[in-house]
Amino acid sequence: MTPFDASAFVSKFVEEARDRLTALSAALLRLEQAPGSTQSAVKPARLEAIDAIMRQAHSLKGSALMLGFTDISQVCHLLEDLFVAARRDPGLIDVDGFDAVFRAVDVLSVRVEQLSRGQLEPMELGELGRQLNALLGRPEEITGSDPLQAMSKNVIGSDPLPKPKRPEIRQTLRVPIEKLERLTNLAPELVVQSLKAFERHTELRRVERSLSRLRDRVREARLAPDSPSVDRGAQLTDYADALDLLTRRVRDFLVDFSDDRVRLNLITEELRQNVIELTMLPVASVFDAFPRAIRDLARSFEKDVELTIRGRDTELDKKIIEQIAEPLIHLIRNAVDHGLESTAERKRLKKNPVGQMVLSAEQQGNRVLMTLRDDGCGIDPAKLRDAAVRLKLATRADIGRWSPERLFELIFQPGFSTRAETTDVSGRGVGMDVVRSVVERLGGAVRVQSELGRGTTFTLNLPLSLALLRVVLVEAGEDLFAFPTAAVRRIVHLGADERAQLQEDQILSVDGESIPVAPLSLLLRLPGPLPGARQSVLLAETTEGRFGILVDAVHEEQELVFKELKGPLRNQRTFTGAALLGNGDIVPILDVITLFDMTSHAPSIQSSPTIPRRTPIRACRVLVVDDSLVAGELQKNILLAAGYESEIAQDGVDALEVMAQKAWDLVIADIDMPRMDGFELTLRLRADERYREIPVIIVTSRDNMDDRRRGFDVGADAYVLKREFDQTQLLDTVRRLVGRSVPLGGRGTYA
Amino acid sequence: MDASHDPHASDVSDAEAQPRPDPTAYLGFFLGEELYGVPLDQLREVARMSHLRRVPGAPPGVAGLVNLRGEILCALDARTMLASAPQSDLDTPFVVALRGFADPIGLVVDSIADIYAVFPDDIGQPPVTWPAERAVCCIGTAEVPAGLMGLLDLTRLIKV
Repeated sequence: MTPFDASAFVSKFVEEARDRLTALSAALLRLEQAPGSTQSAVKPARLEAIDAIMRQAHSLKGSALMLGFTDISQVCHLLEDLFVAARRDPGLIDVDGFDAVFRAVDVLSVRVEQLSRGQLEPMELGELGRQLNALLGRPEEITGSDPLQAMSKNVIGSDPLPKPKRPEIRQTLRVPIEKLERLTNLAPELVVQSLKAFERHTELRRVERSLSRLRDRVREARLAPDSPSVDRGAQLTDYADALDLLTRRVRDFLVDFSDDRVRLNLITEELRQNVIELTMLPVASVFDAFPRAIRDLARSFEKDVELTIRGRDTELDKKIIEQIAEPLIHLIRNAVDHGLESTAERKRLKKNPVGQMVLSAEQQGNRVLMTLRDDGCGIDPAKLRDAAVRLKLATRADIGRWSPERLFELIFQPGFSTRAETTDVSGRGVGMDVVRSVVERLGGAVRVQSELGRGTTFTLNLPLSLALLRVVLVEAGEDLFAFPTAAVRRIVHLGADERAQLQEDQILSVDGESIPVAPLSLLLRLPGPLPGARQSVLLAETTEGRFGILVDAVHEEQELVFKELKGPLRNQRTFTGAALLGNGDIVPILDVITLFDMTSHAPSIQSSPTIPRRTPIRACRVLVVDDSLVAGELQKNILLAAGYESEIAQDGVDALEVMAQKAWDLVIADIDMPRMDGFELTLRLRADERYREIPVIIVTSRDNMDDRRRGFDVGADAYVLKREFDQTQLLDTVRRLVGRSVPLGGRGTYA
Repeated sequence: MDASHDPHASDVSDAEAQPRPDPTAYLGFFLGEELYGVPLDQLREVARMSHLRRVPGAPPGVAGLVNLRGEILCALDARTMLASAPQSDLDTPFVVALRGFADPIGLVVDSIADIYAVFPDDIGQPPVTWPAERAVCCIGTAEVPAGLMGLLDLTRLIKV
């Protein structure tokens, strides 16, 4: 037994570490931007930043040490040392030094995210430690003197510790106390209502008893023989009085009861509102990562950029917050790369030499608007027209008549680029279709406005909450499905003739517009309708166009509590989620965009004159095969940041499975892995016709000639040592083998 | 490398002098005639499956969705995943809800056998006759009163 069970504290540590790393990152940015040290007037800002960094590093070190995460504490310790020195010597950390420190923060972040997923194995610090020590001017010192390093060495020699049980990591959510207080206040109200319900019940029973007593008396009186002693008139008056009293009691009861109902409705509504708010997070949790991202981007594109953030307290559904980061970073990347001019160019144009970007969020009703504005060169409509004509999306004559809005919409087309040759990284357009599809999947919309020479603004219009969804229940193949009401334009009930006509051409003519319609049962491969079923068409609208689905029946509209489809169903695209109906049945919720794609791609449909969809130009896909998650994640992140697509496979067997599912352009494999090692994987790839052409890079910590030779013998294209492993080297090797992140016209891009 | 996953590694260690290591408890269940076990500490609950909602277009290993007291659970088709013979009548199957996964997940099984304690040194190799899909999902087999039980390694069986 260990003295205490650290795993219980892991999720707390993760939360704390995330906060500290964010603060650390922010302080680093402040420090980097603080003007030179020679002016004594600005010294405090510099020192303030350094102190903040040291404070965060020190606290994180303490927490990490307590839980035995010595690798984390070691990095923090080095950071502390570094900034103690930097406090005295302002020139100690140069631009590259900052890069190293930022990388250290990245490594710590990756490690913390691994902890959050329950991976407790420490990471290797070799290269990072060396870099930080180099900044401290003690390149060789590390191995001997660092007590922590020495400690971990000892551990290797001694008996292996019992493997810590993989802790069950609970997903946690931090909630401001006032939100909880509002909920807490509702609890007593519910208790009061429950007591009142009890009272009403008692009252109702009393009334019932009085009524049955009265009934008995009436019955007795009817059976009693007529006699002069019985005054029928007086008896009737009695009964009437009793009934009168009872009626009054029932009336009072109704008044009370309807009060209760109103009260209970209010509480329920408030409860619902409060529960939804519990799952809302301020957008700051995404936005605050961007200053750092922009710093890195600006550096890699050699531009000067200043980001202003507004409305970071605006709250939004946690699920939207989690998914919106990726599209936003894409837009930001595009803006830095293509929107903002170089510093020299900006000076020439007499613009502020520092490119300005504004990211803001604001709530409007039950929607949240996020806008990203840059003051760069804007989108040139002439170029859009040229590109559209070149890509045969429209004729020269037609496009002259397009409105600016419609022209700008082009950039969201898959594969659309204004570049004549689609050879470079992220030509504007690559990935914009992805931005739009993510936003639309969240029930939002994206708009672009641009003025040539003045800048571009992207607006994401998002729902406040995903928790509740209004849907129309439809029936197909004897099952119920839910269709989001927001997308429904109208419901058309078909006569027999119309049904026959629709079956033939699968186009419904509505208000002069031809709309493609497909039966839902066909799209989902369900049994068709029973003969004589009265079918209806649900006409829907997406930003990409209109379509209709033919269903066996349209049932009522309902508000359902939306639940995501998870686990093995995460990747299927037909349904966005599922919900429980009142009777406990599960109803899947249809994905409008996917249905649109399926309907408008059905082979027999001649689509109306819309823009034909082209095969999207996709980013190069790189499969990282590594059983160490630290190494795997690091490589994946490096690749993602460079614009490649990347996934991780855990070993050779896993890799073969993943490769059978989609096309890959490059494989990066570790040697030592369970089940199937990197050599065998490479051999198998070379033996398989489907994969023979895919280049393989072997990445390993083994540094001997035999392995290196064996690597090339089995057919690897490159051999990279983990020890010399750094971002540039990996990317250089990848680029050498597959070119930049967008392939040159598909396969066969490497020599 | 971590050796605790490797069933062969235990032969190498000098276990003779040491007391017998603790057994692991497994919940045994049937798929037709075949008997499998899931480690008890990864079991959340066993429920009779009332209604399975099939999901059109779901991957082959997914049986559908099950309402487990208000929670929507993804029910996996253990039969398909373990390449077992298909069963014609699935009258009253059970769902074995699992813990330790990020998302609610369960296995659809025919019936529940019993709970068995399995000692590490009683674990044998999977029979050579087993299809590869099945062998790779088991850490080994153990003889229990109800028959030869395949000991499932859930992390290999379920790739999420």
